[in-house]
Amino acid sequence: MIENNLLKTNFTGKDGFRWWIGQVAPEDAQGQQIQEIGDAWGTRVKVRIFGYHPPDETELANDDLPWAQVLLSPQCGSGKANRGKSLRVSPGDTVMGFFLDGDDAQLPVVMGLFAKSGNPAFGGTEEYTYPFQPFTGYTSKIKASDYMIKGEGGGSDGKYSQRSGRNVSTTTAKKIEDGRKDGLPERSISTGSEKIINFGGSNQNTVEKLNGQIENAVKEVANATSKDKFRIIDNTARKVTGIAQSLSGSFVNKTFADLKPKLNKGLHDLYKKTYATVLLATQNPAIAKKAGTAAQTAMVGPVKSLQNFIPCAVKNISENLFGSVRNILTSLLDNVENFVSCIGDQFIGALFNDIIGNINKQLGGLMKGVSKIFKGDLVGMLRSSAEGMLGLSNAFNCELPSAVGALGGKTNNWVMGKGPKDIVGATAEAILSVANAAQELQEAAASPGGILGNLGIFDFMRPDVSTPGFSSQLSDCYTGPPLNCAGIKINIFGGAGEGASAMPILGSIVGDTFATQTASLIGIKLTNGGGSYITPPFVEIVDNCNQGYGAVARAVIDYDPNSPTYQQVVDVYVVTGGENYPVIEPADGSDAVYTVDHVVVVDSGQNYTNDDIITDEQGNEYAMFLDDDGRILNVIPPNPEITNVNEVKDLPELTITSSTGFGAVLKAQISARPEFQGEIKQVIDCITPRDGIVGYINGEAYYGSFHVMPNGVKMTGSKHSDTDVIIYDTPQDSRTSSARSSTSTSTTVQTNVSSTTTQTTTSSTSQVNTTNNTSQQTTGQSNTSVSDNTSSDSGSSGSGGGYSGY
Amino acid sequence: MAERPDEQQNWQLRQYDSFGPHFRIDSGNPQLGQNGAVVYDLLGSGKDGNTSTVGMTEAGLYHMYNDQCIEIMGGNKVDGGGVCVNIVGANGDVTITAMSSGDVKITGQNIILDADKNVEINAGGDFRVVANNTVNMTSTNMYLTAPYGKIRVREVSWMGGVFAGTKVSESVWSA
Repeated sequence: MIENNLLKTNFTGKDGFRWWIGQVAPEDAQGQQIQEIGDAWGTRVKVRIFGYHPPDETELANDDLPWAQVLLSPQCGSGKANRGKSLRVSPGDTVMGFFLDGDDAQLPVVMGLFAKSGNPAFGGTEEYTYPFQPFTGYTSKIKASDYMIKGEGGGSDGKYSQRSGRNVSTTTAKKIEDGRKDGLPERSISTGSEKIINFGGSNQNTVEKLNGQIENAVKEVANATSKDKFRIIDNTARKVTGIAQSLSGSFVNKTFADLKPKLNKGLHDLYKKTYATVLLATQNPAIAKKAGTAAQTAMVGPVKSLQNFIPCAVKNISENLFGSVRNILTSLLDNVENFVSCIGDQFIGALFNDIIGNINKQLGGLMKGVSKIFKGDLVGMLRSSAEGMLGLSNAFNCELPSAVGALGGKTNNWVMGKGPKDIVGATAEAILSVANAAQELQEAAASPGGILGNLGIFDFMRPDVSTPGFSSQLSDCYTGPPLNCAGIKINIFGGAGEGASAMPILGSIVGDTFATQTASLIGIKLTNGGGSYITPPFVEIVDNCNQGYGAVARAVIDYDPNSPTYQQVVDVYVVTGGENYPVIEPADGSDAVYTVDHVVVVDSGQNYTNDDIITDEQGNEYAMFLDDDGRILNVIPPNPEITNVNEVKDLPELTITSSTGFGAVLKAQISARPEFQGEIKQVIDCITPRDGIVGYINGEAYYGSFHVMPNGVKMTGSKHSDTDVIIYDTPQDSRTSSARSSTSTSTTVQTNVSSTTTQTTTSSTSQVNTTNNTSQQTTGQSNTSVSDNTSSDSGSSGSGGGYSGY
Repeated sequence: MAERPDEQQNWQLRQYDSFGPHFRIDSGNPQLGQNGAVVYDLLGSGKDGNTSTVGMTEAGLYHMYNDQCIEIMGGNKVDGGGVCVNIVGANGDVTITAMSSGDVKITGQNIILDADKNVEINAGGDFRVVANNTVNMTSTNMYLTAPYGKIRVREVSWMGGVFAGTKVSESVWSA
């Protein structure tokens, strides 16, 4: 031992390796080094080393600690040739290293850091107290940012480490934070998240524009200070005034257009009346004619005054509008906690009342001048004009067709961070009805004027409008947090078609009790394909409680003009399932079990081979049909009737194991599991029509002629042809199958089910399939490939996606 | 409200590179936003609380959010005539919206609106067209509708002005 010590040189690499663990000293001790200024050089930090340095500053001050060079990874670069990376060593870090001078222990080198646990339970975020106690890495120059979410830690702590904000609104982030059991904070990555954007267009969407503004303002105010609130009100009032200006202009134009024939008739009546009166008095037609003409001429001045007012009308009204809009908004934002469409109607109703009141005020004096030729009710006429404004632009469209026309496949609204949004248009009747009722309430209360002028008495003016149980003489438009979550709905809109509908399938249930359970969207059941779609419609996941987030779904339509489902929605698949959606009790009390029903080939990819394997998380293997270029035409899941597949509880995910293929995107669609029948299957005679129903095509009953293929499949037409379509036994099967038979001549080797068979053994079928890949396209992605395919299939169940072809 | 259970969140996929409280690259973060989980985000934050996020979601939405102004400039070294900023929507609409009371301004030597089908311009207030040279509108059908104003449709001739009030009749100078 003594000899060994004597032989030591304390020279790097010649003696033993003396490693150590220590703690990086606090900021004060790092001097100018930490600032990277002055006499700072290299990459070094002061460290207090366990076992070498006392845990006491009085014995060894931080300032007297040795500098430790920090070794860099070769992947970081040294700085030479501009290859470099900054150090990320912070005060308080626990580091490991060795001494360059061996037992002399004066030249420490840091080799690496120990990761700090992100779990708050492990602490370590406190200010420095004394040596070897954990403390924060933040310094006087590096301060925590709310945006990055305060919390230090790294390594393998997953959700605890370096938490980032979410792409949700501040309000949603707060809701998530409140619901967390682990107490972790949540932040929004942008104040713009979930803001509603209206792309604009013609007057048709004035109501949408206004509703979007109000909804945004209500959301923004929810997290605003009183000072911010003024800014929000001011900005929104300006925008709303701008939008309302077009309404004012339309009002004025319509009013004068309506007045013209009425005044003209009044002039004719005036002439007739004057003529008759004078003729009676004078019995002289010439004098009577002159008197009549004079009476009409006397109206030129008053009518001209009216006409001269036209250019100023919109300007005058708009100038007055801003103040009232600000008042209306202030009142609304004071009381409304949650935007609902009925409050949007009321807001627009108030706006209408204000514009009408303004026009009446502006025109009132001038109308007195023409009272001899207009006896009507100007306000009544304005209100009927209002109906025209919202009823809506059809009146204008007849005169001047909108260039861009109906929205068709478009959307006018977008939620930032989320996607397209459908806004259910308010009806003119609803708005005018509430506007009139509010006006009547005010008149009944004999309180015209006041701070809100002649707007009427609306619910949003009431402080208790957001209190549960709110009800007023006007309506029951409660604007507090939603009390009854009605579950989520699938809203299919746009695409220039209509009629498609679908139902959500929820899974991944979280929570023990029904009342508190939340779920993710794991499937969508198409209930109606609708029609006339020229592009895939948008799919909106609607949660009336605004509780869930993250679910995204897309629709697939049939582009094949020869297909019976042409321009219909043939599938709606889930892209991401989201979370936190409210769970509602099934209407029939059933608790369905789901299995994969069929697979949507979103993208066919290419270069796949028949040796490739498609599986799901449960290990089930799927059959795949390819074209000559290795593109996936169809994927058939195991038949749950004859295969004991596992229940699907989460959004299923398919994996393709292939060494050559790439690019395919497959989405598994689930449906309620059919009864498992094992190896022996009872076959119902489904050849004989039931009540005249031969079977189903795309969910609809089929009554026409049909023929049975050698493999037992029914097809339309009395004889086989290229345009035949498969007839399925159940609406479900017919809906979930997406392919259509064309050129077929199927060579089938199969144990067929004859029409008279009541029970038989189901056997595998090998058949030559010629598949015409139905032209389908999803939003943002296109499906390609039309090719014949020869492959084998097992079973002919419609629930297998069907169309492996004939 | 409650998140999905931890076992349903793929934290294994997450990789981040955090440079400090001011900048981070976050990828594969399973926490859900409105458009699904994070594929990646570049998150930045200034000391005044201004933030910026660029990223992509699992459902494919690419986003660029910035609390203050966004500048996009291209072509500083492009000699005249080339394209220096090109915004393309492969499928679907391309929209520009100024929220609040902002204006949308397009400035250039020539401004060309080229619509395969229709052009629609809606103005809540006034619509003005001022050209210091020629206004040329050609159509098979044209409508002008207003309850009041001055709509003059007539042939305009500079020669008419020259010969105005002279004894030379219009039929002569316009022949």
